[in-house]
Amino acid sequence: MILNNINKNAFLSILLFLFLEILASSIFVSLTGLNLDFSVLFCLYFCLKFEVEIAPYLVLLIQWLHSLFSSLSWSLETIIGLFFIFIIKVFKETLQLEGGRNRILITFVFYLLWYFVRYVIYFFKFSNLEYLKSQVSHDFFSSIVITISAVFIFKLLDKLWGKNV
Amino acid sequence: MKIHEEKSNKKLYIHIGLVLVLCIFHLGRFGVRPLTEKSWFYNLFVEITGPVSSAMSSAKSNVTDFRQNYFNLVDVKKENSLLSSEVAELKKKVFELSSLKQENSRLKNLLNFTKEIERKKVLARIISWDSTNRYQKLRINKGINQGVTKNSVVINAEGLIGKVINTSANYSDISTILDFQNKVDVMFELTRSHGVLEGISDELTSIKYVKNSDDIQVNEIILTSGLGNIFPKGIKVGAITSVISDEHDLTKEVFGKPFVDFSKIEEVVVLLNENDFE
Repeated sequence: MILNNINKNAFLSILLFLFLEILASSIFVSLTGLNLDFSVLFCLYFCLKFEVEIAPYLVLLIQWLHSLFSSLSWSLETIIGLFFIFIIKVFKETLQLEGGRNRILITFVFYLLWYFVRYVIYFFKFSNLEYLKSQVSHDFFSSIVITISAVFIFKLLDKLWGKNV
Repeated sequence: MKIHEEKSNKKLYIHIGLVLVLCIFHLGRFGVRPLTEKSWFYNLFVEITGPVSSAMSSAKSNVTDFRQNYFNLVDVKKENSLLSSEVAELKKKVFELSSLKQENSRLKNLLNFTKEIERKKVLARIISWDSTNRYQKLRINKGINQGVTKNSVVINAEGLIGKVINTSANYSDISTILDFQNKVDVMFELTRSHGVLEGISDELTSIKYVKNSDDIQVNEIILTSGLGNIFPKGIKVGAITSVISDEHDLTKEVFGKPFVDFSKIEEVVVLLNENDFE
């Protein structure tokens, strides 16, 4: 029964992610020029909320779907996600995700951290500093937008998952 | 409880490990995709959503254009308003400068005219006319504080205007030569015969007590005679316009037009009475 609920909630979460990803890649990017990366937000939510076995697979699925809409490598992004699951597992007790301000702050810090790890890996892989430099300002602004929207998206995900987890 | 948690953690780590192995295998097998390369799915997605993106981009562009045009128009309107006020200000300044130039010219004439009169002078501006008596009474902006006293003579570059009849600290009232109550002893330039001038209308004066035997001609200039101890001798008053004589009468009827155009005077010179300074 619990497993069924998890599958159902996971499915709905993935659908929500896909909806946001399509929206971001078609409409939002045309209007603002910003390509919003919701994959990190969903991965953070799964990392922060779940300590169950399903979390690594959800991260994998989210990153694979995201790779369809971007040039990012799903395997590399998943490794970053797994690293974050481990980090969050260690600092779980100190992280307070309740309250809008806390959510915004934690999401923003994790976003920056995620991007930093990504930049480091990509720098070592491609040694293309110019491309990364151009990405920094873009990612910074998109992370601000996503961080603000995190409050609503987290609330939506909370409603989806309820108390079953 | 602790055993259960440890088991759960162990399970989680196993799953993390499994996914990690899968990722490393994928990286080893396919490598990292170049940053500029998009997936086939993305290219397909772009094809499908292209019209939507294009419409959105176009709408955004239209909105931006509209906004820019609107702000441009607002700017143009503001600039126009600013320029209009500047033009109005400049017109006002030009008018003021033109007025000053005219005033300067008038004052120069006035000073040149009064140079020959050896009296202390005060320049005054006309501030009002007595509306009930057309050009017969006027008020100037100089009074006792500036040395103006009763019977001070008032002239301008064209000729005699009148005399002060009433004065306060900073203002004085003048009775012009058009005032029938104001009598001025005059003489004619060529014949040197005398008469008494008084106003009869807003542009005409009558000279009384002119002997019938005096050969007075039209256009002869009328001057102050200096008698009466008020008006200095030799100030131009006007010119004779007509002479009516009857051989049975002792005197002639002489009419003269003042040189001063009372409808246009703005500044005057008040000749101060010398006795007041002694």
